[in-house]
Amino acid sequence: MSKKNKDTKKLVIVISKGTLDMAYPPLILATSAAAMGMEVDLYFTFWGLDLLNKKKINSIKMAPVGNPGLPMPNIIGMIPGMTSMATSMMKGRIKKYWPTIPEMMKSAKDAGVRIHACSPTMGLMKVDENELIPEVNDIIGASTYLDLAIDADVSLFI
Amino acid sequence: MTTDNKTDDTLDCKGTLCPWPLVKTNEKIEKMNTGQTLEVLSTDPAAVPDLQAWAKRTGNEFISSTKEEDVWKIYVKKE
Repeated sequence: MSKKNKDTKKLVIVISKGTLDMAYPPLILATSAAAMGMEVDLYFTFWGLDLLNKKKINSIKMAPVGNPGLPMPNIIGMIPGMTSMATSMMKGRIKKYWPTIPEMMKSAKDAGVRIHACSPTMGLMKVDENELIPEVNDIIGASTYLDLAIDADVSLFI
Repeated sequence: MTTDNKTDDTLDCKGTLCPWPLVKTNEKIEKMNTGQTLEVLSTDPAAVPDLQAWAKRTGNEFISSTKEEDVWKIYVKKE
């Protein structure tokens, strides 16, 4: 379906958060855009890099603090164990409708989405190249991201 | 897989939410021949506008949609 030519529309998303509620929206948009024939580049930076980390991608959590949408006051969310409780509640709901984060990532990659890891974040968080999931295309910095974003028709920061 | 006179294939997306009706339809259509018609079954109300937008952007044809009880039957044609 992807009729790649100069009319092909481009989507670029910066993913800066590593929680469940911040991981699904960009992956849903990316897989949808690819299905619509768009070119897609995802740039994972700061805590977004956890989604590309082999050791962390299977244990992405839901943050119960600072999340007013959750039916739980912050003070309760701060009690030990609440993060894993909120996470399992959310995962239980999600799995009825969507694949897991690793499955979404693979699906995006199979659809032609390009996955970029942020080089300065890797230095800051002490993440080595061989700790990244195999879906990662390359490790880039801000100017490469900007070069991609300049040509994008839709550009988002999540 | 059930097929009838109108359609060449059927894709059952019942119970799934956006983006799966769209992603699965696109995967299916890619494997079909030009001119063939696909019936998509979905319980997601977004599937109708989403597949209209998909058809507009990919150059495929959105033929029609009907709703029977809680299921939308959507017909798209590969161009």
